[in-house]
Amino acid sequence: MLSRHAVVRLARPLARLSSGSSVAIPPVEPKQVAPQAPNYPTTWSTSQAPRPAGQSGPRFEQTIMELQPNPPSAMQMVAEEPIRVVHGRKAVCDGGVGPLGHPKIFINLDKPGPQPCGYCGIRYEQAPHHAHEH
Amino acid sequence: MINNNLILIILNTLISLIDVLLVLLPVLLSVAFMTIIERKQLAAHQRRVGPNTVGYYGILQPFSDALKLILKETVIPSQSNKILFYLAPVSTLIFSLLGWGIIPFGQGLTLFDFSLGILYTLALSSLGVYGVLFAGWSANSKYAFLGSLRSTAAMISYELILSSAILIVILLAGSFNFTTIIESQEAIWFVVPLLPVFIFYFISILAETSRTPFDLQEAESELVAGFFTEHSSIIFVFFFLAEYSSIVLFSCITAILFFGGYNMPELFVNNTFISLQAVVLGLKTCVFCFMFVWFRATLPRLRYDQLIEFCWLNLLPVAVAFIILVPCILVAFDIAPY
Amino acid sequence: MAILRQLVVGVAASRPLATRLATSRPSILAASRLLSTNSRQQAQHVDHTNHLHPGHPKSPPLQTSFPGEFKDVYAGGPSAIEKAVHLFFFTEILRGMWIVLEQFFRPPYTIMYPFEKGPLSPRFRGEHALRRYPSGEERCIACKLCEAICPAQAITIESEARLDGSRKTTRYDIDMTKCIYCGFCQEACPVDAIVETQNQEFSTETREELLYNKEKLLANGDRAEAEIAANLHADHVYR
Repeated sequence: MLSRHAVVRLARPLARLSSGSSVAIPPVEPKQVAPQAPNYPTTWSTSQAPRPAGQSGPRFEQTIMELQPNPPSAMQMVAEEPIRVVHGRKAVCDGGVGPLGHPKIFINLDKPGPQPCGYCGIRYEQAPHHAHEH
Repeated sequence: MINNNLILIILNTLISLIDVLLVLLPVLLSVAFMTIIERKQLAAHQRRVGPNTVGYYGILQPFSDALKLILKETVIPSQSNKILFYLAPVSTLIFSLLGWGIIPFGQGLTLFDFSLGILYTLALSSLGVYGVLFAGWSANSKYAFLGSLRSTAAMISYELILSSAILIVILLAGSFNFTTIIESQEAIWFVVPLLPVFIFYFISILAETSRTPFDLQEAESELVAGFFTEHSSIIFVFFFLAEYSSIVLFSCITAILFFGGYNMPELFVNNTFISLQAVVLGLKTCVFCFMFVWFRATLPRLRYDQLIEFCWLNLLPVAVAFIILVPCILVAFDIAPY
Repeated sequence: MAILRQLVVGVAASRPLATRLATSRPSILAASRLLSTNSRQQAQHVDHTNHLHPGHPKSPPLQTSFPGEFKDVYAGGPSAIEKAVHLFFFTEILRGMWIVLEQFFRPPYTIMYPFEKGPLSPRFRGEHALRRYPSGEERCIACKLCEAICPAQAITIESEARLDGSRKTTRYDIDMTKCIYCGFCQEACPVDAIVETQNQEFSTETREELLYNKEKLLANGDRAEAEIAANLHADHVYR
């Protein structure tokens, strides 16, 4: 009898100690994000899921994000590629390695500014020629 | 006085026990290593490597096999005859191991220099059939029963041929005692005058031990595993040991009966400071164990009816012919050894 | 030449036979008797040698048997003693055993797997990878040809315009547990974006790790690019 009372009396503070916050619903933790790629910090497409940081939420509890594959961002890498200057109104692009590239396409360079190849993203620009003398 | 007698009796018993252990422990070791030798040799014949992970070159494989089998669950079928289920493999092993009691490792160096050694060996091989019979019947399973009936029939059929071959050797040797048989091969090993007899003797040994080409009873694709289908774990270990023990035993008997046993002609193995006779017998046994596995690597299996037909229609007339021929020659040239 | 002679002789011989058969209709018996005597009188020597296919001078001549000829088919074969020896002394069994014994002394063919591995061809289909151009841009342009052709429907693709306007995927998942490693995606891709590397040893301990996403595939490609490029260079003339 007495021991039961003692157990009950001891159990409550013990329970309070162990649970921390005694709220039934755990608080929602903000999703932590990590840099999306080594060379580009944020996402680069509209509906791209941002890269989660480690231990962010139950799904990635035991994931070590440093060991997960983290390839460099292709957009950044091709943005660093120099713009090819072409004489003439169209540029030919086949990825550069012949049969191992992409289908050969012709890019019209009439519009101002560098035009990217649809497949490989290399930008071509028309060589500026002197304006018509007339 | 009584105490003295008692001490003598106890000492004698101890010495006999040590004698038996001196023979049995190496025999059991040799049986264990025979399994790995068979697997490695079969692999070599088939241009592959056998078990090579467990010890150096797989030498410790039989011990890991034994450990695995011991740790398995022993399943006894509920409707089986439990006494016979346990008794069958035990008796098979006992009869196989009893055969080592009269093998001479030197002149007169046996556990029991029996004047009727050959008869004892043949009796044991006949009693070994009981183990097979009980195993299949006690398992209360159709396939085990069929397998055991087939094995039994094959074994008793080829026992006739075995006895005929051994009988012819005895005709030449003049005695049932193994040591006398070996000594009477001093002039020439019996395989030379009795080569055809050796051929059908070897065939009958292959059939007695249910080895290829006569192993339809045990082939994994037929009847699952023959008469020991239902036996698992330790019980299976006994059957396994009994089979390989009889292989080694019959190799030894082949060496003794046809190839001069522990004697090597024209060599002074008997007169060195240690007697190499046992070593010579061991080497000859190895040669015949090699031949057992060599036959297994080469030959396809005989179908069961071919097996029985081969015994009764092909070997038996040859055996009977030699039983008639050899005494005729012995009497005609007056070279009977008695 | 001899054939023509035979034909002429045959034709010449058969014509009087035919005329005699035609004329002596009523007396069939007489005709048959005549026929038999005729055939004996005008017996031609039947040349058994086949002039169309003359045999080797050392081999026995090709015998074409005519009815009634006695031919001993066992004539050139083994004698009874030979057969008895083969029967009782197991000659062919011993020959077979000698061959097996020879094999005993030859080296085995086994390779010790984790330490020695067998050769792989450049066309070997293993783990998938997504390739890039030399400039670093991803090759995959979300044409979804691979997704369409995959027999196991293991590829899932979602795509939209990237920030710089180019057409790339946002999701490129290959379920490696569904994939049958047939290489159709590799064949279908017009820009050689999805390829199969030679890696076959990518077993994992959880099933989730085998559901590859784009990042994993791109990383595979980055890691194995040299090997993939060499394999493609070796094989592209056949594709």
